Amino acid sequence: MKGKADLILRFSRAQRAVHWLLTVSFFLLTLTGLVLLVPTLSGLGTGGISRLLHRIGAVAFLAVPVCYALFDGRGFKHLIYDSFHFDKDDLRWFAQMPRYVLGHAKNLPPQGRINAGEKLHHATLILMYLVICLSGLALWLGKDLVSASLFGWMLVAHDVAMFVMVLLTIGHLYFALVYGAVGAMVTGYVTRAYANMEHPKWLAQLDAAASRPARKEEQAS
Amino acid sequence: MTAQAILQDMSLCMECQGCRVACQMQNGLAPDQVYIRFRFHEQGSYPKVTHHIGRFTCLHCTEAACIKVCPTGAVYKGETALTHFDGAKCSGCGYCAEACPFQIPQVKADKALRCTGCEQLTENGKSPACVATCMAGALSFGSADEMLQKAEKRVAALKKQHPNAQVYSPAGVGGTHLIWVLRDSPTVYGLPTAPELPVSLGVWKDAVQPAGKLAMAGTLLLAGLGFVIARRNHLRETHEGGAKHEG
Repeated sequence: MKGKADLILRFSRAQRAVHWLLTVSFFLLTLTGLVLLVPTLSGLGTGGISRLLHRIGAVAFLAVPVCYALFDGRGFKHLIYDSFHFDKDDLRWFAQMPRYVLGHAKNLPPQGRINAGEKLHHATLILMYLVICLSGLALWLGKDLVSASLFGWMLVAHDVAMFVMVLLTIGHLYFALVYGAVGAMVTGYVTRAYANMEHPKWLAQLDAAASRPARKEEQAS
Repeated sequence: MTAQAILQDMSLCMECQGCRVACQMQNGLAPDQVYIRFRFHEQGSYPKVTHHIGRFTCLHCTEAACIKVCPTGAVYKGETALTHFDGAKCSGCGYCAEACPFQIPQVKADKALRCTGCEQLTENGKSPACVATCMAGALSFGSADEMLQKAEKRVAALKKQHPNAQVYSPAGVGGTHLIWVLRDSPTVYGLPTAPELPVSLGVWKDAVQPAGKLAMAGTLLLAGLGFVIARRNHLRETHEGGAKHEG
């Protein structure tokens, strides 16, 4: 039996909302973008409907960091800081990553709130986000400003970033499904047993914070 | 069919714009839609200045940037080596307008306005509508070799009066299948002196996209196979330890 005490808040309400905004906009952008990539789908591009949807998706996609910063500024800062800081356990974790890929989370080097793989995922995603947004804006609004050659390089950058993001997303979905993690992004909660197995350093932090009652609300970040 | 070309002799053009109208009729265009545009340019310097309106339309590049970038396959090469355009396939993205080294295509109301190379006519051995209507003999149509020889002969004659006269079919785009005879240097007409197919477009279409598609398909396949093994391992591990993910 699981009591409320067995559950730990891993994702705040704002984090979940931002995650799903990113998901919906990313898939809308990918699907409408594929129209221009796969020749058999190109018929869907005529009439400009896929372009309109792509631009609606783009606005939502651009709004993701803004919403994150507005609704959970501290969580946003933590995530960016965390994603670019790797400690020794993280490096040792990477060495044993193939085991994690094959579904073994036990006896891996201890991890914090986000594991080394998630850090790398976030870090690459953030960089690619910047590339795809800047090149996308140039393709959308900068047509008359950039030369034919630079326009071509923007297409290159946009597609490279898109491919990297799609590959990351396939990986993300893979781990989410292997480790049954989708529920946590819906409810926000994970079990204590899970946290103990996959994120022991984070659990230790939470327990230490819990012994100082005034700072309990920091759990989520 | 051997490669064909249109010869456009700017020294013979009397600037009547009849070709524009014939083109509109042939392609069923509204009066404000044109595939052939006329641009003002000046020749000479004060006090001997002449004003001209020159004809500008698709140059039918051998290595065509517009074909490279078109995501829907609306622009393509015919057997004549002319560039054709299927308006029904055009999504109006404007990539061709952006990539064209000569800035020829225009996009209006979500459709590119660009020369079709009169596919129905030229693929059946006939002249395009603009050539057929030209009264001044400034336009001709025939095999690319023949048109090039004709252009060179004409330039040789023009050189006596116009030392800068030249044939314009730039090598940077693999030569063009609209061959110009110019009385003066290309810049006078607002034409680029060394246009080329941007390297970036080749990188995009021939390297990034095929490699990316391959990586995407490969990763999906591996993830599918790996999932079956990994999911089983995970369930076994959590069953032993009693840890469950979902809250």
